[in-house]
Amino acid sequence: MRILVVEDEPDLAGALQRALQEEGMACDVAGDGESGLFNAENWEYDAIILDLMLPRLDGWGLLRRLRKRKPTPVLILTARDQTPDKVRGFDSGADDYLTKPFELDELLARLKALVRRSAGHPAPVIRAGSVEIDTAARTVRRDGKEVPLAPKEYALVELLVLHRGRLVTRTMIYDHIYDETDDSLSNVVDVYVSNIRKKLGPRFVETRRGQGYIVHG
Amino acid sequence: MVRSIRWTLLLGHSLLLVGVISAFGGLLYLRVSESTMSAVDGELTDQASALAASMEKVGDDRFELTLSEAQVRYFNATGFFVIWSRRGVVDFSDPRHADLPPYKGAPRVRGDFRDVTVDGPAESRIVVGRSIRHERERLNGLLSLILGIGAAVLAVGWIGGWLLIGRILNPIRRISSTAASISESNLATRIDTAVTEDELGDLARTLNSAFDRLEAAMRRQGRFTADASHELRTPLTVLTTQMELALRRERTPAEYREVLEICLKAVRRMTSMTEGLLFLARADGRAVDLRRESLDLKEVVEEAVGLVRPLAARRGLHLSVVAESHRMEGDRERLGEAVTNLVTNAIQYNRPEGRVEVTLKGGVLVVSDTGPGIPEEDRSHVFERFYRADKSRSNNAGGAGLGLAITKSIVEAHGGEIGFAARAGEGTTFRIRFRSNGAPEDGRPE
Repeated sequence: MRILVVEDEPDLAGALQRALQEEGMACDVAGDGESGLFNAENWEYDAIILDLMLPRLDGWGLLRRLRKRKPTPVLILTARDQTPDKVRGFDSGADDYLTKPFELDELLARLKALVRRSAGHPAPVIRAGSVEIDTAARTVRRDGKEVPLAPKEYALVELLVLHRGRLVTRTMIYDHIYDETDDSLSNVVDVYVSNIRKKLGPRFVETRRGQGYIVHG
Repeated sequence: MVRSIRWTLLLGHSLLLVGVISAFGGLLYLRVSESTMSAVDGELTDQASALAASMEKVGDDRFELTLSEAQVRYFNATGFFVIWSRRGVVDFSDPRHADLPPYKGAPRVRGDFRDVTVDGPAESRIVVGRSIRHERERLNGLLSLILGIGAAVLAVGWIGGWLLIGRILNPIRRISSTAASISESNLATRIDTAVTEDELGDLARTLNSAFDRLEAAMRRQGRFTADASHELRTPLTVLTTQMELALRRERTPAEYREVLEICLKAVRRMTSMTEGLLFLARADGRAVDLRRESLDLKEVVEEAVGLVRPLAARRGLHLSVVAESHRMEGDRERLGEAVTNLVTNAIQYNRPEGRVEVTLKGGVLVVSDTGPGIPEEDRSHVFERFYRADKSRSNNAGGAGLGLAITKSIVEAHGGEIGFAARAGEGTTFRIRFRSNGAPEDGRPE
């Protein structure tokens, strides 16, 4: 899961990025509206956390321009708590609205719910054969027993399961589980896939040579 | 209220009508009655003169009266006469008036009768009179007519007045109901000035402009509240998020240290803003306590510039000070804060390699920079709390946008004035003028 944080307060943006990464998500930070819009338009984010009061281009403006091109889920995170601001936010195309100061757990829960809904799985627990993925607790069970996964392995499983029945290309994997702070080699994905096969069974992930991977529902 | 205006107007209107009608009717009645009576008097005088002419003296106090046929008819039908010689009654036409004493002077009225007296031949006196009951009836008829017409005019005037006043009051009622509907949540409504004309249109426009000012004040207030809460929440959010994150798992001492440093920065930011807001609140209540002392502004300026010089150096700016001595009464610390705010702004909103010039001459402090200037639309808001030309409110430039508001309050608490000249792209010049020792300055224009 890859998240974009558009926030001009560096101390807050840093904390958010850290928190998301510790949850196993990939996270990019943009410090102003224009670079935020650039990132949002040019990468496939699973969700965007958007501040409203931003230099150069404010959050509402960013959202309106983004919505002409992309349906990426957007959670507005702002100190503006007046109803008209919220209404304007939703009317500009936001999917959720959280006012500062907020609790980290709530933000993470809303974010996960947002990503689930936009992938078409409103229920937090997703089943694929004998494997059960709890996207809220970020745990994976096989035949009812919890399987420990490394954060990136979990991220990959979640991505595959959220798109189950559909082909997930290597580009998609890079787009969704890595952020600008990662510097990894492409064959690392193969390592993750082979680890996942070891832990969740050889037939959990099917490889389509030269195209990508697929998990069958 | 509307009702009482209507009744007051109507009462005044009716009194005026009654006054006009009575004056007009009274005058008319008097004129008519006067002319009627003088006609009667003329007729009587003519008859008396004719009688005098028809008297022929036939001896001492003896007269022979020969009446024409017309005279006979007149005295038989309407009038009467009495003639006296020097010694008493000589002749009369109607025994009812035989006892009438002779008199001299103006015509007089006895009951229904009116008579006149003229001198006859040989010191005789002739009185001719007649009943004026008929004239009186006619005059009474006229009076009733006048009263009737007056009452009718009054009634029409009263009804017309009622309707007219209603017509005048209707738009007022509309205005007041619109005004009553304007509330905090519905400030955008305005009185329709197209339907109310003339003076009421003026009233409506005046009210509308008052509503405009009210709406602007409310909007400023709302913006202030939103800005203040944003400015307070941002560091608060940094605090809670950083601490929550730190507590989620075990961290290394270096990580804890980093979190504490970030939190300390956020707390300092909140402290400085809270102090700024408190100062401004006190300044609003005119309760700024200045520690007044005699000081040289030059020292204050040079000290303040000295404090920010490292900041200018970091940004590669050229900072120059030319200050003349200027003695005044004031609070050294506050004045220093005001100067620091201005110079810090000049440094922060400047272009790389730019210049900041500070001059103090004749009690006028000028701080000018080579920055981007202030856009037209922001100029009227420069001294507003939390207002920043850069809408982002990022803290990269430091401060919450209270600096200029605080500077203005400090300058004004010292009896000074602050103004600025700024053209987009050509830098900004702030100018503070102090009065020396509180004495009014020579009023030289800027």
